Amino acid sequence: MKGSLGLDRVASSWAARGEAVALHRDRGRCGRRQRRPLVSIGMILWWLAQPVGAEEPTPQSGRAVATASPSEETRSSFHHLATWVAGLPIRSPSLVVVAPLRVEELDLPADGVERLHQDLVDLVVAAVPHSKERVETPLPLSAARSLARRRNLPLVYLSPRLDNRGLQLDARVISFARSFWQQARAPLGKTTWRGSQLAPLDAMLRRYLPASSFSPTTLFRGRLPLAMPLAIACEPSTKEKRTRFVVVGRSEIALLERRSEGLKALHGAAWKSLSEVAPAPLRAPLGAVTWEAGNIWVGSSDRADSILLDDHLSSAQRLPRSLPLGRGWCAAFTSRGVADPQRCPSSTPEDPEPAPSEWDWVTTKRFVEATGAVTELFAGVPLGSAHAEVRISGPLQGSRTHTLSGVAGPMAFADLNGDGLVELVTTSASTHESDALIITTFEQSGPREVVRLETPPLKALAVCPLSGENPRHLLLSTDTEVWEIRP
Amino acid sequence: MKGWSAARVPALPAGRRDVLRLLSMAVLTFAQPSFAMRRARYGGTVRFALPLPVTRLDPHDGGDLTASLLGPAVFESLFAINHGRPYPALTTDLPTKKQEVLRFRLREGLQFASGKPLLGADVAYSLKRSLQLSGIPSLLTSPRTVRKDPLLVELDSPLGPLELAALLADPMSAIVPRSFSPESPDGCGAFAAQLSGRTLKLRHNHRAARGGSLLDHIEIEQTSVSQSLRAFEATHSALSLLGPGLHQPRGDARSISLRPLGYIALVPHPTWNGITRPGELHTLLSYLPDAPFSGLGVTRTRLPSAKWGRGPFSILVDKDNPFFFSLAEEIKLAWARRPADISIRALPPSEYAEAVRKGAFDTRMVWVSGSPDNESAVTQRLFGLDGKKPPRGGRLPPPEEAARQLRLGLLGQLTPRAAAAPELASLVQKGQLSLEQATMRDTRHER
Repeated sequence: MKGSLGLDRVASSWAARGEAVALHRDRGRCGRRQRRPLVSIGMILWWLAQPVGAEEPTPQSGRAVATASPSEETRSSFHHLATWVAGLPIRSPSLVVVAPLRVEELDLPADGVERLHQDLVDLVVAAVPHSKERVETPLPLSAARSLARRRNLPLVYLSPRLDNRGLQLDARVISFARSFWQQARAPLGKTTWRGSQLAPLDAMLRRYLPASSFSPTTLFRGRLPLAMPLAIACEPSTKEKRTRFVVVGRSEIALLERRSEGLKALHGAAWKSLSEVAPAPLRAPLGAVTWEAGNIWVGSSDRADSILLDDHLSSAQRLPRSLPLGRGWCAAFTSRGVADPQRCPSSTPEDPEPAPSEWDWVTTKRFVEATGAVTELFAGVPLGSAHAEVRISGPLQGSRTHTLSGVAGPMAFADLNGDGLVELVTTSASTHESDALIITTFEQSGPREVVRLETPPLKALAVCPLSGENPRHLLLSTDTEVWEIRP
Repeated sequence: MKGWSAARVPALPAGRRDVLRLLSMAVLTFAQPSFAMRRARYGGTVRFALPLPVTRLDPHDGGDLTASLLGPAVFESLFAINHGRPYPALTTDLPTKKQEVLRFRLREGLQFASGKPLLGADVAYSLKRSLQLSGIPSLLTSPRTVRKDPLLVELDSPLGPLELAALLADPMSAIVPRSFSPESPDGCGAFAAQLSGRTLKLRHNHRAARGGSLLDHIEIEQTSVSQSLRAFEATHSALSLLGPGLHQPRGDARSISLRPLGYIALVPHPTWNGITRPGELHTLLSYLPDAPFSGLGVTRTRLPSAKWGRGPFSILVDKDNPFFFSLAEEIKLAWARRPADISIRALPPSEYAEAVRKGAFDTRMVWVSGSPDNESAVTQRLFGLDGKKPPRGGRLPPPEEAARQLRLGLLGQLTPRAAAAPELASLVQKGQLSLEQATMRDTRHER
């Protein structure tokens, strides 16, 4: 329920606490907003005060999106900024004023400036609930000083600046003498505290910027040392500048590193030594691999077990047969494909009866805002079809379902360009020998194909790194090669 | 039957696995207009009208023409062959040998389509049954389970592990449950079979040991040769084994190159005095003109002349085998103006079996299953049908040459002249889906 609350609810919650709230907001602006961010900073702070609740959402019944949850990404750049504002040495009562937003080095449109400033005001309003009065219209310092002096209140003046590094908030606390003569002697007051905080330019901030266009570039192309790749996954982001990834084939698993001279095989493991052939494998095989917290979890329809390995592909632990999707979520194998994602099973079902809904491919993703607000994404190619069903669900974007025709697996969700909008990376459903990498972005108005890149037939793909800074890279695997693409 | 000629039916080369490839790939054509390159599509139903008897399906019966064509879709053997090398299909590994005892272990959790578990006892039963029915002299004896492990099987054989695995990879060594009945066949192949009247229904087997079929269903209706061609011509059947049409070639039909399936033999009764010298019947059959037989996909080695000083004789055929009945009719027609008359005795299956059991026939038409890769098995079976033991040591002669040393005669080798819907044919010919992918003859995950 918390996610359904808007700013007005936030304001009313303050009112309920008996606080005087000076809302000088120009409400008329809302109607002109073209690209309103999915969450405002005020909401962030409101949510920060709420219990986030269970780490994973409760799966909904049927084929709802919320059954999928696995791969998770947290967007938390404003979290530290909000916390910092809340911790400013503000005496009560004070006058809190936000200066006009300065934008440097970046091409931020006027409406973006307006929206960011407004959300910054929301952040401040929420962060300093005990201040006597908050001015929500941007005021220059001189005007703020005179207002504070007239009202006989200390001034908390916050100057935001946006540049390539991120959003910097400079704060200064100015005190004014009470007596007339002392005020006359020091009309500008006395700065008693000064500090600044930088919020890095992440997905949250990029939402205010114009969407960056895609121009796919091949960064690397190397020969794969194993046959018939089923799945590929990157190492979670590390401080080291390297790309390590794991490729799952039908007979072996390989841990590879991209180097300037080519692909270097670091470790390998034979499936035969890990698990027996499944009693009823799939004729058209499916595989998946996740790499989380030093653990590589591999599943293949060919095998009787899924396997948990360390990042040296050793210390194998057998787990029930399923397709791992990440964060404890799996897709159970049916007799022809996979079923809806669910919590990973504790045992392998005895008899793979056909499931009510079967998929050729599934992918899921979960974006968690710093507030705890969760956006669930699910995409699946129904068995035997040439289209994908995409479901987006969350308090910020509502529940939406889209159908993308002419696409097939493998697939992956990611915010590739860090603009705050989710992209689905997938491949074309083609009868031809060529293939295409397709990137579709999901705007409020609906899905929009932003990239279509002709490729050889693709067998597996991954977005790298799984969490970390934008822009993301894509790893694509054909039968014989691995390509690294910057979208 | 007289209405179509060899000229209308272009010669094409067929093999069981090729037909399976065809069946498996049919889904790509009939289920959806397109498919992802990455994963073959599941789903779809196809219908075939074929001149094959579909009242029983017995993988161990070397004379079961339908089983030799469709058996590998329903049954699995312990091992399979890829590029000439055997690999484990139902077992965990290749056999191990200690002295004369070879041992292998079944994969865990295997089930037949009926849900019955596949155990070592089923393997022992199947191998014994295969030895008994196939007519191939035994190179292995006493298949047995090991008491402490129900999945472990032992047998005695002078063969090495690889040779034994290759022998057991033969579709005629397929594994069936101990309660097997050819009228209600049960196996662990890609399809589950159901016989109903003159229709064989194959459905996706979700318990298949090597993966269930891509197609949901295949419905095979038993028809005469001419009806089969007509059904294909009228697009009621997606596959023809005898060419592109009856009256005229189906416009969009594409020929498919397939490999030979086996041989058609005329086997005389051991006590029938019409044949006195070895090779006599074979020479007679070799003298018959090519034309009517090549139209039916039978390729032959023809001799310029033959002498036949014997009287008339009859050919016993199963009335439920439309293809054999057509062949017998062609033999009769081709021989009509020769010194001896040939008559056809077409009996219903039960009476046919009874006549064979009692030896109430002059000659009978027999199917001898065998691919060109395994001609020695065909030769061994020919010797078996003739009541003789194949020569020990050395290389066995090819089937045609062996027939000259035996009382039986070979009519020729059957190479179905397959034609299919265009999309299906183009996929086969482009090799977009490999044989391994289509039939789960994939060794890559089993190496």
